[in-house]
Amino acid sequence: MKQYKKQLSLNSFLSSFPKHIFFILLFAAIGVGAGFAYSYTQLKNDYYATAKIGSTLATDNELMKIASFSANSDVVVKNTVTNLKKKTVVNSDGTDITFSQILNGYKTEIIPAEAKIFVSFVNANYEIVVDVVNELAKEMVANINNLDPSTLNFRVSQQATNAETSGFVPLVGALVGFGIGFSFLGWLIAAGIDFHYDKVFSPHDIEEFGLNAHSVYLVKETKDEE
Amino acid sequence: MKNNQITISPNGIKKIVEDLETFGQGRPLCIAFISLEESLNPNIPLSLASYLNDKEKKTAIFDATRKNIIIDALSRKGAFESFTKEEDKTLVPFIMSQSNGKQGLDVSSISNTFSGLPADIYTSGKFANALKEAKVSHHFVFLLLPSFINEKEIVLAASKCDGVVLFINKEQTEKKLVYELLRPLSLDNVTVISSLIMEKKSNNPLAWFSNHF
Repeated sequence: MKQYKKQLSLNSFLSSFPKHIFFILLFAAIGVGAGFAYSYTQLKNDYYATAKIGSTLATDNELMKIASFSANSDVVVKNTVTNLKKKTVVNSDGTDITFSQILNGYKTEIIPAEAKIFVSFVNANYEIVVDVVNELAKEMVANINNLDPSTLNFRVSQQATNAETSGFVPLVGALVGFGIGFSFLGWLIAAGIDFHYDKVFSPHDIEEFGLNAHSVYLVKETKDEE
Repeated sequence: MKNNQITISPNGIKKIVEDLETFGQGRPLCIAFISLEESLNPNIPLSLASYLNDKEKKTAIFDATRKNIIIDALSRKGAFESFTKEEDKTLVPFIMSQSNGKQGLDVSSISNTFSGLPADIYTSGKFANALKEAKVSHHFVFLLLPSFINEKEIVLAASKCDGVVLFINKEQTEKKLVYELLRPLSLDNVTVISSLIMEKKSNNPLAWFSNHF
């Protein structure tokens, strides 16, 4: 008769997956929870503000595109930096607002139906976003109108008045990564428990001892009593 | 009146009988039934006996757990009820068919077969003689061993039989426990004729859920 010896095989590891599917899914759920928690720790308290610029004359879509192109020039950003410095608008740590800080934080979006260009700026410094976006909008209008003032006649139609938070968005990578990682951990734990207790699951488990084994079901049998 | 009993599926019964018939080759057999985790539900050997009875094979069951004997066991009226009476701790022979009274065992001669400690019972000549005597008038003699006795006592009792049938509970019995029982059995040249891994079948989705947890 073959000696009893605990063996950890790839086959027993793989077969523990369907056997403990709910245990593994529980760990996957915990992993997704951990992914949410991780996303929260990575949350940047960004603030944004939006100003709108437009022209009653420039309803043509092509004109809007030209205007938007002009609005996105480096000159606009450069002038904005200079103007903010003059107005002594600085970061919360006292440093000057830089060219790259504005270039990386702003974006423009054409809304053809309204004949407007939305200018928004995102930054972690709550105090500066409104000033920056309004200054940007002003400089953009000046830059667009320089192209052809008689035709375009753009103006800032709505200034930004307050900054809002971007809100919490969970990181998909963290959710998937933690979910898969934890489910694998659950799988390892389940396989480890199986290995530790080494219980009989199938005839194959005891056939190695030379036994003629069968798998049978216990059933409820209803009998008529006379 | 309807009565529910837990037993092995018909397919499982067939498998055991096939193994017993292959091993016995037509000669009378004494088989020890060993359940590793808990005492065997008596409905299982009774269902087996009932199946064998349909094949015109007579069976005697010695239940060392409840200290009962059923001769020519048939799953008929009163059999389960009497057999599973928990309060009945004394040796009570049940004669289940009319023919037994005339041709079966001499009940009075084996009435004190199970008195005393397990080790004393299984080493006594009385015990071996009772099994032998039962084999003369029956095709099969089932000896149901209690799960609370130790390995030595199991081997002592099983060695009086031609072989054993092991009953293992799926996902409950440790492989090590099976090995620890098989080692002394093989040293004493006791043959394990068949081993059954029993799984509870349930339609309850919660049971399915817990089985996969």
